[in-house]
Formats: sequence, structure tokens, C-alpha cells
Amino acid sequence: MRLDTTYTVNTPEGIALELSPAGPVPRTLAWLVDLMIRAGISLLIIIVLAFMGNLGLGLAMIFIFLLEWFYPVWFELRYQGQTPGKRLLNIYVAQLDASPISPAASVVRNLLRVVDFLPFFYGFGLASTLISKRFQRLGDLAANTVVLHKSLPVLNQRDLSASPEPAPLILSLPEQQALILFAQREATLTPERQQELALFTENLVKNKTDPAAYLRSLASWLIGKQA
Amino acid sequence: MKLSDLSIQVRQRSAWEAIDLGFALVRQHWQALILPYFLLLLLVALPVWLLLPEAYLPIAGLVVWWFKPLFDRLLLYILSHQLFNEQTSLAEAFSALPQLIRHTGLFSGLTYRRFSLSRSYVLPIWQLEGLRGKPLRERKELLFLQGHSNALWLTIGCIHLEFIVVLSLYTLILMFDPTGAAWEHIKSMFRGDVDIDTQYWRMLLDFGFYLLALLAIEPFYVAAGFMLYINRRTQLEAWDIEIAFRNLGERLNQLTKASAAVVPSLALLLMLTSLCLIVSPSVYAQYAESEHEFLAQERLAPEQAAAKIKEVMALDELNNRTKVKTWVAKNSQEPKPSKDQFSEGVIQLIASILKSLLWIVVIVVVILALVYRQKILSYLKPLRHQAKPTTPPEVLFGLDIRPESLPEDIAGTARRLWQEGQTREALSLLYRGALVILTHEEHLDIQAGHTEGDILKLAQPTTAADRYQYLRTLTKLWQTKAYAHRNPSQQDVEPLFTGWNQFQAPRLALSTEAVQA
Repeated sequence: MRLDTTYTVNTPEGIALELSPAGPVPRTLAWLVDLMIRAGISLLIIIVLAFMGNLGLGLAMIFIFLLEWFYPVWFELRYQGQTPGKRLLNIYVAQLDASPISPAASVVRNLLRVVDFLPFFYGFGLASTLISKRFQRLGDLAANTVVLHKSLPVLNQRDLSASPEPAPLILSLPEQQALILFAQREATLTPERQQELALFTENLVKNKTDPAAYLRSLASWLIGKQA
Repeated sequence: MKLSDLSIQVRQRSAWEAIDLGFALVRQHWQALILPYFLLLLLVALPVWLLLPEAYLPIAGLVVWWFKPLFDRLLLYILSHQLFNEQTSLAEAFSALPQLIRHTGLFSGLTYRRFSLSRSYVLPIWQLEGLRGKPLRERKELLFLQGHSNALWLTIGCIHLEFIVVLSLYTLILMFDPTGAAWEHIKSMFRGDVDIDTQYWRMLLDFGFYLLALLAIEPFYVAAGFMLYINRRTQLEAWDIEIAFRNLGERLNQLTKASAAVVPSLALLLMLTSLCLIVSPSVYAQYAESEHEFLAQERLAPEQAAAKIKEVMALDELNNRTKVKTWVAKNSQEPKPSKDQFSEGVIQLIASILKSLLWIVVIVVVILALVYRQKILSYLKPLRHQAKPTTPPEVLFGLDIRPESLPEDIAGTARRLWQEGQTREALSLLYRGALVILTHEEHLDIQAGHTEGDILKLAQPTTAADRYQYLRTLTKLWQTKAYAHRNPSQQDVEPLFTGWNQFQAPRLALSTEAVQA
């Protein structure tokens, strides 16, 4: 079993979903972005309410308290598990099985920040993310949630231009995927590297004058292109 | 380097995922890393602590920090072997150290490249590819096209993580110190009254905490940068495709070998095509169980799955319930059928009569339209623009140009006046006559403000050439007399008298018209 950060969830229909948890660095950066936003809003509240004297400061304290504790909850429930910082880093909070985060879980994981925050600025949270298998902090473990990378948009979504040619034998799913990826990444690979890659398939491209072009036309056939 | 020996899953990843993979890599191989790294750290830290004069001890942490690139190289050495599942013993790691110090650009790494924020991202180029000079620069440029910003943010993030570790350790002591001495100590630090007795131990504590932070975070940092580098090379060289194609090639080789025993003389392509008929079911079965299939290995029993699906589908997220507010009438009963059958019938009757009347009106209008189509169509023709008849001015530059003011025989009167020596009157009469013709007969749009020249210009397009020539001569002579007070000669004037009849020819028609009117 090769090392990867992903884990798999089976749906009842028997579909295996591959999920990719986000590690400490993107999460720290996302948290920093959110911190900046919260700090900016808090400052604004204080400046505006300071004109009302002690009453204003009291109100400001209440607002900042609410902001501090319910900013993540509100965004997680309202915007598909993404606070602005998480949106910037393209990550989101979800239940462990990738279903949308429930209100209870969101409240739990955000109230438990107080534990993760200990002893100072998420010391325990950092230790927990480094040790736990899915980069979960203590609040995540308690609420059964996980922070996931949004799956990449399909890379180089290019129409395959080669004219289709049927494959001479049955190809397995990973082989088909490799062929299609090969054709899609035509623009990012040097022609020499493409020929070299094509020759790795040995017998498939034997007696072909342009192995890479032949594999590309196989890919066109695989995605169902008509001649 | 054999890609199939890689211990990581090679696939397309985002840069952030690659960084996370680095963290996972350290988690997997931390046992191999920790001992060599810890020893090397001690090897640097102990001499630093012992050799520095006491006054400089507060910067001991900084000195060790400065040697980070050295630690990075050892960590990368071990990680790069672990990546291919090669175990490196402590002895191997340390015997590689001299080579790492000499041949991996450590000098520049410790001096002018020390502050590079993409340190861990480019380290593999220095150490594993061993490039120098121009190739190194080009390689860096190629790598930096993507992933550079991620490498920068990785460094910034890891600096934060180190601080978190150090500060957390301090706070832990605060939390677990019941005497409050630690808190007093921190306050005294800010007050500036340093306790000489405890200062040495405090500095040792600082140093120790910093070493722990280094020990905890630096391996992750190096591994994350390394994985960023591997991810970039996977992108550039399509490692994932290479692995898949090699597997494919191998499988085909086995197929041909198996078939070679059976049908050695067939051409390869034919073999392959026939083979897929013979062998493919087993091949397919073999791959159906492969881990790459997107179907789960174990599945629920159908009824259990159905129950689970039902449960999931009942979740709020999958049931789009929306609240809509609208106004609804209070008495929402059906409108009762009218009891008054009679009035209903009358209304129906009137309606049908009106309807037939309307039809009759329509038919009559159509017939009328047909009868008067000529007249109606004429309204549709575009209206010709009819110029508003302008009333010509009665006086132009002091000359009376009403037709009534002129004698019947203009040329004769003028000639008589000329012979009597009244040059001015003679020319004036002729010119006035000409103006009258222009304004009243030819409807030239002459305004009171026009000059003689303007009139010539206005007349030019509509007047025949010889008449225009006559008018020009007349105007010129008149101007000479009127303004320059010079008498024209006899031969100049003679053509005017003789040509007048020809010029005024249309005027006769005008006068007869006037008589009739």
C-alpha cells in the first residue's frame, strides 16, 4: 500500500469516494486569514461604538464575543463548510463521511477550539493534527468532522483533437485513464517526453511510426469520439 | 531511479496536497528520521552552548537556527532514501554527512541563500540533482513556474508552527507551576530586573525549547518542500503516466509470451487482437478486483443498503424545503353559481347581438376600404415637401424692387435715361428689373440681407449660361457705378440694352399672369 494522504468512504451504493484531508499548513494559513478578517471587524466595531462611551464598549465586547465564537459556525453552516480563509485555501469542513457538516458538529468543533487553543495558540491542536491520521484537531475528533481539500477541477480539460482509433485489446480502467490523461496533458509535456512515455507501452505501439500520436487517437476513441 | 519503487502514491495533486503528503511522509518515517537528526542537532547545539561566551548565550538559539540548512540536508538524505523504501542506518546517514557538506551547495545555503523563503523547495535540485550554475538556474525557473508561492507560504506557515511549539511549552510551564514563580519570572523579564542567579538556567530553558521546536517542525518542513518538488516533477514529466504505461507494457509482454507458445507464426497485431478474445475475460476479472476500481470492496446487503440510502435521502441537505409567503383570501369558497337564470340569459343575448353587430361593422369597414382604396393609398404616399412660398423682399440695398415700380418697357426707358446722361438711373433700372425677374419669376430665395454677390451665387445654379453672363455684367457695371461712381463706356452698356429682351423673356409671362390675377 503506497503512502497517500487520502482515505476512502463507501457509499451505500458501493461507490468508493476518495477524500483528501487538509494538513496543518493550509489550515494554519486559512486560520490566519480568518483571524485577520475577525480582527478587522472587531476593530471597526470598537471604533464605531466607542462614540457611545462605556455602553458602547460593553456592546462592542458582546459583539466581539459573538464574532469570536460564532463566526466559524455561521460560515461553516451557511457556506458549505467554508469560512473565507478556507475558501481562499480551497478547503472545507465536512463530516467524516464527507456529508455536509451538521449544526451540532459545527458548534462542538468550534467550542472545542478552547481546548485546541491550549496551552498557547493551538499547541494541542497542532500536536493533534500532526499525530492523527486525517489531520484532525481535538475539536474535529470530538465532532467527528474533518477538513478536506476540494477536489481538483479536471486538469487540462481539453478536447482531444486526434481522430479516434479503436484499441486492439481490452484495456483495464486504470490503463484507460492513463491513456486519456496522456492525451489531455499533451500541452504540458515535451514532444520527446511524450514519445518516450509512449514507448513504455512496448507492444501496444510496436510498428507505429508515431507512437504518441497513436496513443492519443486511442484516447479519443476511449472518450467516445466519433470519427 | 525506478518509479515503481516509490513508496508514495504518484498521482496528480494540488500543491497544498503535496505539502500535506510531506507531513504524512514524516509521520510514516519519523523513526528513521528522529535519531540521526537529534544527534546532529546535539552535535551542533552542544558546542554552540559550551563555546559561546556567557554574554552571547541569548543568541545561541539564533546560531543553531543559522545551521538549519545543514540539518535540512541530512533530513532530505534520509527522506529521499525512504521514498524508495531504502532503510538508512544511523551510520550510513552520518557517513554521508561529509559528502553532503561538500557537494550540496551548503556554503551558499549558509550564507547568502540563508534567507531564501523557498529553501526546502529548491534543496532537492542542489542535493539530489546536483546541478550548478546555469542548468541550476534554468531548473529553478522551470520549477518556480508553479508551486513557488506555495513554497513561500509553506516557509511562513512553518515559522508560525515553530513559534506555536515554543510558546506552548512556555505556557505549559506556567499552567503547571503552582507557586507562581514562573509568572513572577516573566514579569521580572519585562521589568528588566534580571535575576543573575537564575539567568543562566532561563537561557538554557529558552535554548532547549527552541531545539525542541526545531526537532518537531523542521522534518515536516523539509519533507513538505521535497514533496512539492516531487509533485512538480510529476507534473512536468508525467510520472503517473509513466508508471501506468510501464505496467501496461509489462502486461502486454506477458500476453505475447503466453501466446507465442501457441501461435508463434502470427503477426503481432493479429496476435494481440485474437488474444483479447481468448485472454481478456481473465484479464478483466483480474482488474475488477484491483484497488483502482472505484467500486468499494465490501458492500452492504441490498436491503441494508436500501435502508441506509433511505436514511441518507431523508437528511435535510437532500430535501430542498423552502418557505414561501403568499396572500390567501379569507373566504376561499368556490364562487356560487348565479341563481338569476333570467338575467344571465339576457346578458348572453345582448352579448351575442353586440358580437354580430361588431362583425357587421368590420365587414362594412372592409368594403368601404376597398371602395376608397385609391384615396386611402394616396395618404400612404410620402408627402412631397412643399416649400413655403416666400414673399420676396420689397427693398434690396436701397433699391425698390416691387414689380409695380417698374415701367413697362425697361430697356427703352433705360436707354433713354442713358442718352439723357442719367447713367445711374439707367443702370439702376436695369438691375432692378433683373432682380424683379429673379425674385418673382424664378422664385429665387433672396433675403433682405443678401448682397449683390450673394444673389449672383444664388442665381448661378438655376440660370442658363448666357443669362447668367448677362446678369454678371449688369451687376458688375451697376456696382462700378453705384459704389465707385465711375461711368461705364458706351460699348460696355450697349449689350445690356440690346440683350435685355432676351433676359427678360420670362417676365412677360409673369406680367400677363399678374394681369389675369
